[in-house]
This record gives sequence, structure tokens and C-alpha cells, in this order.
Amino acid sequence: MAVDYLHYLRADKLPHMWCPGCGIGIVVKSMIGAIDALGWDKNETAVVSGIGCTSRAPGYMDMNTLHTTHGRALTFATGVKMAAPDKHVIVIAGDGDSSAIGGNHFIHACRRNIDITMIIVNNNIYGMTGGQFSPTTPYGAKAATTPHGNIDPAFDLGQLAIGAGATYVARGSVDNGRMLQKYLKDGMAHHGFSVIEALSNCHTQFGRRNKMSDPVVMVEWIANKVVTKAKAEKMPPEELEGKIITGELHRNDERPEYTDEYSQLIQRVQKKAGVHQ
Amino acid sequence: MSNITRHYAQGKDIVIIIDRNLCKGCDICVQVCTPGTLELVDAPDKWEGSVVQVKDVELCNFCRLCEIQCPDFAIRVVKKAEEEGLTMAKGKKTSAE
Repeated sequence: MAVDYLHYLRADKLPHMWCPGCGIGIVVKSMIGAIDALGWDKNETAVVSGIGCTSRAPGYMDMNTLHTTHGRALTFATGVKMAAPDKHVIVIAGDGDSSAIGGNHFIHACRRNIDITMIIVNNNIYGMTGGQFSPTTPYGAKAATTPHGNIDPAFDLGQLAIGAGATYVARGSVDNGRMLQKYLKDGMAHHGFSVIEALSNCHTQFGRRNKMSDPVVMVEWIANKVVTKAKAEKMPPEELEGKIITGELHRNDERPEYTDEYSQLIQRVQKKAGVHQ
Repeated sequence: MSNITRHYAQGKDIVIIIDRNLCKGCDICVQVCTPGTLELVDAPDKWEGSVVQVKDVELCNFCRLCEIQCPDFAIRVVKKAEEEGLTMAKGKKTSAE
């Protein structure tokens, strides 16, 4: 069945402001496909973002949207979820927004296991502000602030989320929108904090400085770099050097969810205090 | 002139809808299309200088990769029965011709 994408978008705001060929459009499309497949009502769904290219996404989405301060999307989203635990809350953030400026909020949201879906669009750079290197810029890559190559090792956002305690972690890439949509759907359906990292292309800021200024070339570069989890298990370690594993990286359905715990706590304390509702 | 063009395949149940206004000519759809249904043409009126158009709708095999990979919501590949009721840019509903 065809997905009516523009039903979920503010169609009068299109065309969007992202560069020609920008992967964020593909991520937004996959996200809409996942919401449509789950049958979520757009009036029951909240999309929260911080600052950055990716964070412009809620502006185009015809849902309950919040465009908040840099890195703080998760704190606002936590507030929304606590106030309305029956609503669906999605956070869409860039790599810098989630792992640098909002890194602290990110690890603690993972630890807390609140039922929020976090989509991280990882394009390896700060695209909006002029191409400064971000915590996910690969070692040796050039950026506006690393003209001779980056000497910082990059964050593995998937492992970071697993280590911090997220209960669903997956990784997809914009070269395969169908696969990305599958993991977004699984992550949204998961009851707990889910992190889906979408490897994306910024040919304007990252590609231009690394001999990939064409969107097709950069998407191909991502396609050649990723290996599915099933395939990676059969590959020798030397072939996996420099590759990025995509797929469902971690899943834990056992841990209690935060809003459930909170409502149980309220009931317990009210019972103890003799308060009747 | 309408920005939205529709291409109906003769032998197959396929409609390709392209919104020229939304297309930014990034070339991704043309590259993912294995049968070669789409092509990029020069468009001096567009800021990006190029725009996608259908070369031969009969070549389409309904894989819908172009629709999935288009970052700009410019291409729709649907069955003829699904065409009616699709929301188009500016919030206008389509009507089957």
C-alpha cells in the first residue's frame, strides 16, 4: 500500500530547505513510512528536536512538534512523555546535537529507559554552522576546523547507547531506505528507550572537503562502508576494518520502563499515605 | 502549467507522479533506477539547474526505489487504484483523470 507521505507533512512548507540530495529527507521519509506502518495517529504523536539541519525536520511534519534549544531535545521530550505517557514521542537529532551538546542528556535518557524513540541522523559533521568537526567525524577526515585531518577518534553512537543502557539500539543508513524504515518501525514499537542511528550524507560540508561533493558519490561511499550484522558475523576481522555494522545491535525487553515505574510509585505512595483516587 | 506530471504505463498497473516544484535534481533517483526509467534534464528556471523527468514509463518494474530514496518527496510510484486521495504539495488532494 502506498504511503501518503504528504499527509504527515506540512505540504505548504515544501520544498524543504535541505540541500539537493541530503539524506535527512530520506530519514524523514523512512520515519513517516514507519509511523504509517504502525498506524499511529499523527495527532497522538509528538516530534521533538534541538538545533541543526536535522532538527529542522519537525518544522515540516504535521504532528505535535517542538523545536527546542541545542542538545536539549531529550529533556523536552521527557517532559512531554511524563505529562502524556499514552502519547508517542519521537526525538530527531543530529550527531552533534545528540552526542556533543546534548551528550549528557543522551546518556541519562538511555539509563532511564523512558519510552522515547530517538533518531540520530549521523552525517559526521556540523552541517548548518559551516562544517566544523563533530564527535563522529572519522579519524583523518577534513572539516572546516580540521583542515589537515581530524586527529580525534570518532564516537560509535550505537555502542555508546548500549553502554549507557538503551534497551533498543539499531543502525541503518540512507543508502537503504527500506532497511532504515524497518529499524525505525521496530524502535518505535519497542516499549522503552530506543536509539536508531541513521548514517547520512552531508556532501555540502563533509563531502566537499573529502572529495565527495556529489550526493550520489557520497551515498555510494556510505553504501560501501556499511556491512549488515548478519554478513559481518561471517566475515574475518581484517575485512571488517573500517566498516560500520548496521542492523539491530541490541535489544532488551526485560528492563522496566520509566513512566510505568513512575505511575507504580505514585500508586504505592498514595496507598501508603491513605490517599484514595 | 502544472508542476505535477503523471505518467501511466500502458501494459502495467503503474503510475509515476513527479512534482517538478519539489525536485532539486540531485540525481539519486536516476542512479538507483536499474531499468533506466528516469533521466535528468537541464532546467534553467530551477536554481539547481536540473530536474528529473520520466524517460520511458514502460521500463518501470515497480521496485519503488526512486520513491523511497528521493529526499525531496518529488516522486511517487503507485498503482492506478492508489492514485486518488494522495496528498500533493500545497495540501491539494489529487483526483484521478
